[in-house]
Amino acid sequence: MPCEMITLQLGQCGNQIGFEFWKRLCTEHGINPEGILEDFATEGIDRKDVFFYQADDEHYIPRAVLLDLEPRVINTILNSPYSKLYNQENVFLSKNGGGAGNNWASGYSQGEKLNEEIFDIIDREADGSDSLEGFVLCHSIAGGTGSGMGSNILEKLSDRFPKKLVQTYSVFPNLDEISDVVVQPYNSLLTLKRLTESADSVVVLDNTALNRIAADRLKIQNPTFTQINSLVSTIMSVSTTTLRYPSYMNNDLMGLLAPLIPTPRLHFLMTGYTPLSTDTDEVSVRKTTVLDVMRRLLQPKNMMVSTAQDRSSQHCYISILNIIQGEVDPTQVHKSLQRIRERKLAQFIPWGPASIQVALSRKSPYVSTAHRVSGLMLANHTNISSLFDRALIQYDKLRKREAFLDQFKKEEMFKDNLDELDSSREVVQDLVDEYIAATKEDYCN
Amino acid sequence: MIHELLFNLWNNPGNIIDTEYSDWTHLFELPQFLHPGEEKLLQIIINIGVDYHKITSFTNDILNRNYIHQVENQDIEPPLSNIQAGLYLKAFSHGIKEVLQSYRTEILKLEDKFLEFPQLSLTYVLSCIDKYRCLFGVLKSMINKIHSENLHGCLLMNGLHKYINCGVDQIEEAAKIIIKSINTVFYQHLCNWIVCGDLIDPYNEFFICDGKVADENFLYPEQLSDDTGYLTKKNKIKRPPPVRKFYINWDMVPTFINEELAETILFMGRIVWIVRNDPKKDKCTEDYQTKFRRDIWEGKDTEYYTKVQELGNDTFNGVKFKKTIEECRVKLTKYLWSIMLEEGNLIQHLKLIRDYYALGRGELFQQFLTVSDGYLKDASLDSTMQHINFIFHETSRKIYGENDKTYLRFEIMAQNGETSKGNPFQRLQLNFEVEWPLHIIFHPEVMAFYNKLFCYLLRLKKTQINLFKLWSNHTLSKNKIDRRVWTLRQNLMFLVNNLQYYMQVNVIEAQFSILLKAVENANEFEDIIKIHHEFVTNLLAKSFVLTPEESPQGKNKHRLYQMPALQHNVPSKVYNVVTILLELCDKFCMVANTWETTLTESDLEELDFFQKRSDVAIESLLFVLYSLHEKVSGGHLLQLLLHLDFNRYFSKNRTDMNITGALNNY
Repeated sequence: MPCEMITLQLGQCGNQIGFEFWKRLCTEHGINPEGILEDFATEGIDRKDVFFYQADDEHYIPRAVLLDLEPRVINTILNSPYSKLYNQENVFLSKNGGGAGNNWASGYSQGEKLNEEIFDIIDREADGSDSLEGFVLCHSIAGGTGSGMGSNILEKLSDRFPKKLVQTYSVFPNLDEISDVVVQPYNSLLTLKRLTESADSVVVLDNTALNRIAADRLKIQNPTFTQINSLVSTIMSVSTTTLRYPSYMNNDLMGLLAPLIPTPRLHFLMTGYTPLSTDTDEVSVRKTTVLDVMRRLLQPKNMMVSTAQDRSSQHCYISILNIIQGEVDPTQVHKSLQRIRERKLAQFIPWGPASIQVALSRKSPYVSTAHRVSGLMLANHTNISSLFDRALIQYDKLRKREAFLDQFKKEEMFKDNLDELDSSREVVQDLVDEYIAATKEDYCN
Repeated sequence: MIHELLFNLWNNPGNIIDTEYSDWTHLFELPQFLHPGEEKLLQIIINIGVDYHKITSFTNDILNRNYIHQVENQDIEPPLSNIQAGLYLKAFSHGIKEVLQSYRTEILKLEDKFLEFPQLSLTYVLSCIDKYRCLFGVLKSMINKIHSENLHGCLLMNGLHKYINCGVDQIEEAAKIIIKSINTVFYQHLCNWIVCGDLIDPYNEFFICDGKVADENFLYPEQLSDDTGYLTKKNKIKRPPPVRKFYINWDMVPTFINEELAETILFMGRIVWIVRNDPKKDKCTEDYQTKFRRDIWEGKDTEYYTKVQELGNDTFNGVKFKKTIEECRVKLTKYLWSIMLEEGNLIQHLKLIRDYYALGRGELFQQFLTVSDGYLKDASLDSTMQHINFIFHETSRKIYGENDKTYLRFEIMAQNGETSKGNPFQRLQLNFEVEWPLHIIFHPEVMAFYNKLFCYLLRLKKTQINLFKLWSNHTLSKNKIDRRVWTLRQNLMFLVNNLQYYMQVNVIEAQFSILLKAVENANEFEDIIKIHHEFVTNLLAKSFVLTPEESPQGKNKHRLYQMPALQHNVPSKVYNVVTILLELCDKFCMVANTWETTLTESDLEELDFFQKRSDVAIESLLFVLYSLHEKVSGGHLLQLLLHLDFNRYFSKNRTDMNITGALNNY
């Protein structure tokens, strides 16, 4: 089966969102928690094999590798009804089980040490696929394992698999609440460097925005991890829907990403999804049209990234891909695009042609939704730099006070100097500058 | 003398037909005793007798022929006259014989009278048979016309109808009798044709002819050549069963059947023929032919048969005739429509066409193009094509597994002619196993249109993949790439992506959803042909592959073989520009893949060259789209323009083109 994707889920957050993602994929493809195809789903012509493979005994097994330095989350998964779904050989728990202590440096160096073992798993998984297209990495950038070990794996992946695309779903920390991870700004910045240099595409999942959306749009005052993660899994599953339910275009990761990412470094994607509803909230069923969906997707309040409204700079879209699901008449899409253009609802780059690409996608026949039409937006927007800007500011605050650096200095990488932090800051600053430059007409000159 | 006279009126004394009217005296023993007045009277009476004999000698000649024998030995034994043999003439003769019956009764009556009153006068005889003079004259003129114009078959009916309204009762009666006699034959033919799809016409008298060969319109090129042994090896796809060729012999069409009606009648019989010759049912019907034959009339065949046959009881009633034919047509066409939908799986069939010919299964063709990239160097080689097909089926198998085996109904072929010119992928075509009875809609010419679209879309997809690969190389190398290189790459990719989106969504998906809706609302077979042809026309016109016919003629709706209103081999201007653009993309991808991170002097020169060429290509594309949009049905060009100029990048420096204005007005 061509164009397979291997999912690597790292750390507490990565494993949690990965778990939700696989649950959702199973439901969509009619696979039960044990990996057996449900009777009603045997005739399906969806492409399960992009994310699953079939074992000899007809079990569908996720192409997933579960990695963590502490056992808590993975044990929860292994004690859930889905425990038999995963290939047990792909579950990797560090033997000391002490975790990374929310320290990027610890995660990174442990990753380095466990490198052999981890890549044994990844290599085996890669060998088992027909023509692997790439990797999907789920992690958070704030903690220790997902960020530190994740960074290490990102670096190694592009060395080991130079021809494979690497996409990450990276959870950015919630800045509205006080984090218990005091070194979070260091962790984030160090991870951002790897996301910029080693990943080919990063889907930014901003916890600030996710919590805000849960509160504002879904009216959940104190959203639980599960509720937030279900939002995330929606994003993840819909953004892969054109791979799993293929039609005329965007059928592989390359086809999905190439139009979105014109220049290698500007590969941080925002997402938006509409209409949003939770399991408890099925009441507010509105008549959704393609135009409604496409218009709402352009509203900042529906974006899963909280971007500061900076009026001084002309932030704009570099590219947009809308994945529209449901009963859609192609002529409606055209009319909506026309309306959006007429009313200038989306501001685009001035230095090249750009438009809203639309992928009309099938959706799973086994999942019923209350909405006629739904849409996911994958957008490359220059304003994502405000997120990095914020990370820089937070970092600078901490760094000025030389706070909490002792934990880092314990590790090999920072023993002698803090050059790594400086170089990371430089990379992220360059990234912000490039995004700002991309808003200008002379960007290409 | 009277007796002799009556004898002569009854019997043909031999060579009388050849004799002139004046030369009759030898028939009587005592000519010298005749009074001149009597002589005159006798002559008049004899003349009537002569006419009668002439007529009967014609009918006897016709009726006594051994036709079958004659047909077999036409060369050896030429017919007595120039008249062709035939059932219609026979019926005509029968009719005349019937008409003459009253004359014969009259003579018998006279004979009786004569025996009763031997003093019967000549004037009495004359008064009795004089009324036949006019009738015989008309009959003779009919016969003469048959001789002089060599009429036979259906054509015999033409002249007869005018006598019905001639005003003379006797002649009208006679004409009716003759017409009815001929009608039995004609309506027998018609019934057999319409109800059974049979044509039993050994003398070629009916206006519909059996070509006795397969209709070449429904044959694929390789079926046309006799080279079967060689070709069966090459093509694995089963071709649909041949359609027997039936055609209208326009010379034989009776005047009371107009062109449209004749076409309709032809069409109906052909439908019945096709339904009765269902290859799927063929095997089991060999023994119980009638028992298991598909019943197109759904048990009402005798009803319709009688209905048509009853038309023959009347001389001819145009309104009734049309009504009955229409009734039968509606029945047939609805039946055909229902088997197209139910047994032919029309909707599924259309979806397959969308999936394969219109690259609806993007994942399959993307993978196929990627894998077969290195192998397709010389498409004219059989071994290459075998390998390409292997890749195609292997790729399909990997993607669809056991659940979906529709790909087995397709095979990839290299287009003949224009060898080794251009992109080899442009020459690939699809063969599709079209099943009965859909093969009458999806005939070879229509499939050729689909293949044109297929070539174009495949070509576009190939170029797109090339650009994606270049993107992938640039992205994965993690090196800093010259801005100008990636901007050019991105601009070209933007054009190609939007072009593809336009084709797939704005044209194919949009037209396809219109088509499906129309099929749902259709209830006749001819509707399906019509909406399908509109679909094909729109597909090829809006994707710029071909130009539609400027003034599509109002063709007869009820025809088996119909063509979409497209001009062959006339691509639109946009097509040419797009082709140039795609070639440019391909070349750019090839060259740019060889460039190192830092560009050399010559690289830069090449880049500059590509830059300029692409500027020209983009400009001409925009110009063509813009300048053509105002033409009739140019609205679709604006759809493409909307995508290309969505962020007003192209139009902002163009004062000569008010693209935004055009888009807002659209």
